[in-house]
Amino acid sequence: MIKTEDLNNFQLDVLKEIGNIGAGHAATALSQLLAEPITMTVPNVSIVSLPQVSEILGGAEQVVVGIYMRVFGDAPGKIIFVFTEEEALTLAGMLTGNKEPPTALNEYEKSALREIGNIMTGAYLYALTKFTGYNVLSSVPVLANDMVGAILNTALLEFGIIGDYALFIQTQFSLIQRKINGHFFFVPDPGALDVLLNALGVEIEWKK
Amino acid sequence: MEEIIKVGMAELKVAKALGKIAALGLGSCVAICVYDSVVKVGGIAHVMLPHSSMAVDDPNRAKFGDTALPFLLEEMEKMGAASSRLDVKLVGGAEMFAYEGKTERLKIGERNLQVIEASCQKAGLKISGRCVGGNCGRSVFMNLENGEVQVKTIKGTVTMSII
Repeated sequence: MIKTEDLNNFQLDVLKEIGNIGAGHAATALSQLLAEPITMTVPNVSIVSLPQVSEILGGAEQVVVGIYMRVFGDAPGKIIFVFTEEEALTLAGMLTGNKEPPTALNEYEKSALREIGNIMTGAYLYALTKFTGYNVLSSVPVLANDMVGAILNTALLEFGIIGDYALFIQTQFSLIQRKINGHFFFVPDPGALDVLLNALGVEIEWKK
Repeated sequence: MEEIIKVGMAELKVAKALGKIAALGLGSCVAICVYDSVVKVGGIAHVMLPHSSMAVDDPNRAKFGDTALPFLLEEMEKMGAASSRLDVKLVGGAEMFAYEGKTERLKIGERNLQVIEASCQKAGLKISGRCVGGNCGRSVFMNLENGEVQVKTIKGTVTMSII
């Protein structure tokens, strides 16, 4: 199994491209669904030491809404969307056709947000299957309204098995008119890194 | 502003009064909080995973439920603490992404807690307070002056004193 800290620049670029194609599809899906223009950033492949994980989105205790899905199949992993609480409320208002955003999420609005996660993940994974030739499927989405540190720590746990660094591919997408910025994380399971790189014809050098 | 020593995931830190020692944003991770009120030394281990056997040759003992407590006790003793006087509290071990009605394959939070409880029993230490399980994130702050442990969730704060 390749260790995250041993990846070279070329391999990181390949992972970045995976994120780019996947997130491009996901953003298109959201844009069509909401009939609004969406912009996205060039993906970042981040390798973060475990103690730093909770600081990723500006402080462990910031309250966010996270939508989490497991990815099954040849290249397993996790997908997580993160919105600030305020942005999630605005988005939920849009989806349910309310003019004013709600003050707290009810079951109906949570379900709408989970569905957004589902649709975007579907598009992301479809792109991934298309160009790797592998089969990947996602679980049903789960929503957590909680501290960002707790959500990300839990999502990145499995990297603890192979070392002291976690890896994730992150893209930010924005609904400009509504000032909503969502963060999209693809977290390949430690063993899936080799699979993804192999699928794209990238050689893996083994370091001892 | 008082000083707060932060213990990140897979870290272990021990400190002496004054100030606070804290682990922020615990999900399924568990913070083992230990305090000696005589020498006013406190420590936190931020445990990620239950067993060190899950990894190959991992030297970081703070990361795992079965190795963190002995490591923490060693570090505490170096600062003058005695195991007979220790107050132990556990915080965390939640299931952040609970599928309704279904059991996730890896209930890491619960397994972390089981292993740590067993490890405390083996060391002959009684756990005087728990704020564990459920599915909410937690932050824990230990006051090094009196050993008080404060647990913050998005719904509010609870305080556990030493017994």
